[in-house]
Amino acid sequence: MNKRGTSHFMSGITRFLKRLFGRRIVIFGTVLVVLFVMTALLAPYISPHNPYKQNLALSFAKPSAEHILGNDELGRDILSRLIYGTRTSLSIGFIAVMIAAGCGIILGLVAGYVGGVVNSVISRIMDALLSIPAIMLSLGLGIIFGSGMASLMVILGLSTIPTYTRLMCAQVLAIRNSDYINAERVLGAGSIRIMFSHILPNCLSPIIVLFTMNIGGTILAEASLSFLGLGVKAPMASWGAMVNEGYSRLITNPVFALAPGVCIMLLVLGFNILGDGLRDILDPRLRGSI
Amino acid sequence: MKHLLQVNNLSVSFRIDDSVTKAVNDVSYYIDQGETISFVGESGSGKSVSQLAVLQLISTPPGSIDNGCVMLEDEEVFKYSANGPEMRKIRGGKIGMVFQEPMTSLNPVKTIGSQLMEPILIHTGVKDKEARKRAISLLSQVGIPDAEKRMGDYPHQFSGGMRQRIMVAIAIAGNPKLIIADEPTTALDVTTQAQILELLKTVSEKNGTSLLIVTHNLGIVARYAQRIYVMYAGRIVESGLSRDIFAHPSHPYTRGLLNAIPRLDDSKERKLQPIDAPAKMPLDDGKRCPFLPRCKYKCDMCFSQGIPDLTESVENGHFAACRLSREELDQIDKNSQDSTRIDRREPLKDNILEINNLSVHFPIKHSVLSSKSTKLTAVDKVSFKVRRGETFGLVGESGCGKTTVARSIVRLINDSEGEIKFNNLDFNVLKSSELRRQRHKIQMIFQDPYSSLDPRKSAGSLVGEPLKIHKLISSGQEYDRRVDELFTLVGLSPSLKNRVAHEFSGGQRQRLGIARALASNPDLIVCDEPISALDVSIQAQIINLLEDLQQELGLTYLFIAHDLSVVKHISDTIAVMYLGKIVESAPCEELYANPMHPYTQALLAAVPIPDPEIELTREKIILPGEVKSLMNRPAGCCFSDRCPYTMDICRKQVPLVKNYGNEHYVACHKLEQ
Amino acid sequence: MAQFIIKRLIQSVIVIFIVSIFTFLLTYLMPGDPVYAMLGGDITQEQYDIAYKEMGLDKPIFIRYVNWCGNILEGDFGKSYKYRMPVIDLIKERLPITMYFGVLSIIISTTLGIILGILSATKRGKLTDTIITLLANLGAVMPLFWLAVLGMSLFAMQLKWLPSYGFTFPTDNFVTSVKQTILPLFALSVGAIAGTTRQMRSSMLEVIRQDYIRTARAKGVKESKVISGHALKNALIPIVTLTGMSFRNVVSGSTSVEIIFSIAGTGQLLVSSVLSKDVATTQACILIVAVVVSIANLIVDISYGYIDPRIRIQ
Repeated sequence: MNKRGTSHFMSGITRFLKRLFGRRIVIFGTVLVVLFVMTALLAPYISPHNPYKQNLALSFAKPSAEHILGNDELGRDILSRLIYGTRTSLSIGFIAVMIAAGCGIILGLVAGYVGGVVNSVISRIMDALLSIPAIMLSLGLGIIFGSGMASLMVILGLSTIPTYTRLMCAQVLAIRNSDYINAERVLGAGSIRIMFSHILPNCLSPIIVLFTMNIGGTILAEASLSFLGLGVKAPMASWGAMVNEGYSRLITNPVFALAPGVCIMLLVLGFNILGDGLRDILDPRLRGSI
Repeated sequence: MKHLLQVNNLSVSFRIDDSVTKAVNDVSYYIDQGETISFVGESGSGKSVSQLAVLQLISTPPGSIDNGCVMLEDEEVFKYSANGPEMRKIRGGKIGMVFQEPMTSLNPVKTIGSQLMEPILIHTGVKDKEARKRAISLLSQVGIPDAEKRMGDYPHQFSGGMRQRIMVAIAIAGNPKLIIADEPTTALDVTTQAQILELLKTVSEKNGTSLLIVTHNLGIVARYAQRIYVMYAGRIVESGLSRDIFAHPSHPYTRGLLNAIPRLDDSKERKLQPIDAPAKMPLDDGKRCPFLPRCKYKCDMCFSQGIPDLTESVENGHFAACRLSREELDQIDKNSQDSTRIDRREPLKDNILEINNLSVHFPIKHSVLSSKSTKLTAVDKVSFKVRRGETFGLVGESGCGKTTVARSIVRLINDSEGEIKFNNLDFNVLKSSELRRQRHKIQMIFQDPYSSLDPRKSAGSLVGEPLKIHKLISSGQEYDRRVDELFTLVGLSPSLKNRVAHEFSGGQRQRLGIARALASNPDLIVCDEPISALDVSIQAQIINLLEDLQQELGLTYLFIAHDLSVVKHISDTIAVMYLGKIVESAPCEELYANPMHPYTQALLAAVPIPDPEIELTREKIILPGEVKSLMNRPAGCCFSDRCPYTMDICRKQVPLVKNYGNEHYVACHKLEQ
Repeated sequence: MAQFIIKRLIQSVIVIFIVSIFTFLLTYLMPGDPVYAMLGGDITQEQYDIAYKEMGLDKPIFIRYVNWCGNILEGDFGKSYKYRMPVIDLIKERLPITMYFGVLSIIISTTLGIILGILSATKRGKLTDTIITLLANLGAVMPLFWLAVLGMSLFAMQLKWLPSYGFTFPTDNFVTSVKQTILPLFALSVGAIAGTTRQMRSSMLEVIRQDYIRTARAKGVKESKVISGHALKNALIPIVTLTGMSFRNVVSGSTSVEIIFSIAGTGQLLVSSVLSKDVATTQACILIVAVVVSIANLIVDISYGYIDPRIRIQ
């Protein structure tokens, strides 16, 4: 791209950002997300204690000057675990959605472009995945993949694939018969060129929106599984598991169960608001459908 | 004398993303009892918004009525709150409305019976049973067959024309004094358009109702309106009696429009004169004449003085908002050097394209359980020849198969039957690899310039893509040079290369589409309704560009269109299609001078000519009924169910195409006798 | 319409078929020996050999699948080694409880969501709209299990207004049942109410912009009638689709709620059988729930046809 092209591209980006952050609520959402991402990245530097260090003497200790939010059953510092929990939530959320989007985009592209039987087969498999409630599907997949962080990413990713496949397939079906694709055919462009150079880029806007919103959804799902004891393995810090550990002590140390819940809410809220904002700009027609 | 409706100094604005657009600016007009008037203008001129504002039907926000006084008989309309009881009495009760889009203007989940009974129940005070009776009689009055049976049907079970008839029924159901028809036929075919307009005229004459038609089509205006208001950029720029305005247009915009549109009664040599359009229209700053950037008559006064007021000219009641008088405008026209004639090159004798017995069938599945499917024949054994260097026009109404023919020729439809011989090579039997190599010789221009350009690619890469696909360039330098050349060829500055499609105007986008088609040096370009999505003043630019390119590059065009005036202007030979068949084909002049097939005759008669004097004396043929669906095509001649001359044989036997001299081919039993 | 129903029915059958393959394969895809998977590790070699034969592990996998399906169609899901009883009896006991919560929650969330959504859309930009939108946004991100434990701690542990565990059908003891139902049902419905409200609001706003609403106004129809008579039915179309999806989510959420409030439903059964590697029970739970969700979706799609004449009459 030459210089003028680059500057043109930059002005497009600037315009996009201006519109995105023109609304105060979107700024709020973005700040939330950025804060949590920073927390996750800087966890070792900002957490006051080692989140894994046990001290049974401090079991279920109330908040103190040394341990601002108190200690859990094994005497670990709750604030530090909360900070490290950010890492768990974000990394699982992000990677699981990456897996889902990657597989979903390819499956949807193939289903939509090839059509016919291929589309039917892929669609029915997706329907099947969608007919099993998310937690149950994760539990079922958990039997196969076992527990642990990596399996959790795969499990949560697999159970979100259908959303992407469906969206992508619908997009492709809408675009593949549009006149600009017809124009490519008349020009003599081959299928691969049409699929990757013209159809794919035009399908991405709603995918980006869905991606943003899904990170929030996946973080919620991870928290639910961890709460049930089916998520990440101890001693890893997870907000969902912390709620589970803390809720019996809600009266003595309410922060223990409240804080991780509030963290989940804020982080998911941030992603949802950001997603809403992106949708309004990238694809206003989607309002309501995602 | 008191007017039925009097609107004074109406101003409406819309606020979107902090920017305020003045959609209607200080507009005043009136309509008398029993009168038919018309608002003319292009999209965005404010002609529809004015009418919606009168009924307080614009949504607020984003819209707001900033100023104005509307007197409907003795009532001051704007004193009423937008959805209050008084306003509701006026809506439907005193003023009925017919909207543009029959497909979306009826509620899809309610029966048409209930939608039609609603205004009757609200405004006439009758009860359920009586209302139902009236609804049925209204339906038959507007020409819905089996009215009683169809009361329980839903909108999607009706064709566009039928839905618009239902809209008319709804508009007149509350016995209004005025019917406002907002582009009532823009979405419809020309013969249906004639039906609906005649219907509106008949019902308004019968009930003594006034009729206000909003349209961009000057022909419709000439045919129906007694008085006209011409709008541009939210202002009325000219108004007066229809015959005065057409005879002596006194505003540059009106003059421009009349010179820009092709007419059915034009001579073939008249060159269309487009109205200039800068790429980005400057916003109306309220200080200068809004037409100034496009005006070819502009003088120093226009820059130094403010917006010109509407001033009355020689005739009574003929107003125009221009600093220059009509005589001064005439003088400038006389001195202008613009060529007004086209030199047409004679087509060569050899055929570049021969279509023999082309048929296209679409399979229709009947049931999920049975594997049986019937074939729907969209194109039925169509044959024609296109000479090298000519423009071959293919006309017909929607659903006649003209686009299917076009798509078969460029092989967007793959399973057509018959021969498509291009440069003596049968395209229809080519394998896909060979086809891709040959593709660059036939290119296509699409109807909608908004959907036919990839929104994510830069203009330069769109135009340059064919060069890469067919490896027509050897170096990056050559690529750049060639793309620049193509931009210049279609009248775009190469400096626009890095923009993406949505940064261009409709006309510019269509130029990009043409540049892309030209990139691979094609012999034949299939133009599928290339101008029908554009505003009338822009259409002329594209037509002229296509004609110039043909002269320069010796191109052959297959021009698909529904607008007979345009086809007449641009084509050397014309074929008329109806329900998948070519019913008549002839050299252009011959066909228009001597149309032989009853369908062609009706089609030509349905096209209004923008001249009230001619329209007064023209014979009108209003075809009965609608185009049958392909599923139940009439046996025998496909036109036999609507033809005024149908004989027994027409219903039994398909007529053959015969030559009646002068290369004039017609398929009609009546002519054979 | 018949065409449409038949087509949807066929699709549902195919979907259930695919789910059945997945659940069947669970036994073989999980790490370890399928015999131990079915019977638990605590068996003798003799028992192992018998089970090996019984499960048909000496036969090809296709035959095993057919046999397995055959058994299921006869109501035989195998035996739960954890509960030492036929799985089908467990399901018979547990499924109605989950269904009870699921159906109640769907009814409440759909009704409330639609009302709040309409209110919010028609008062767009006003205080009512702002409050509803804010609550809906919060409700959508509130972790269900968190809401449940907070509710339990506050109303059951602290205030002792409501019981903290257990379930009774209203037919057995109405008062106890209502008391036991309130907290779990609330936790279960908040997210769904929020989702429906958001969807209904945007769907209503979308419909209000349509040409046919302008037509209705141009006829002189009263504004309240424009909303109830013209806009509502159109705006409901996407809600119907959402309700189908919601059912799946509610059943999913019911898993956490059942565990927190010690309600012996399908979700709790599934979690305990997964934790104790009771494969036969796991298979049955997943398959049965998938069938129930598919049937719910089917009903939803058919009612969709009744709302939208464009689908009903082709």
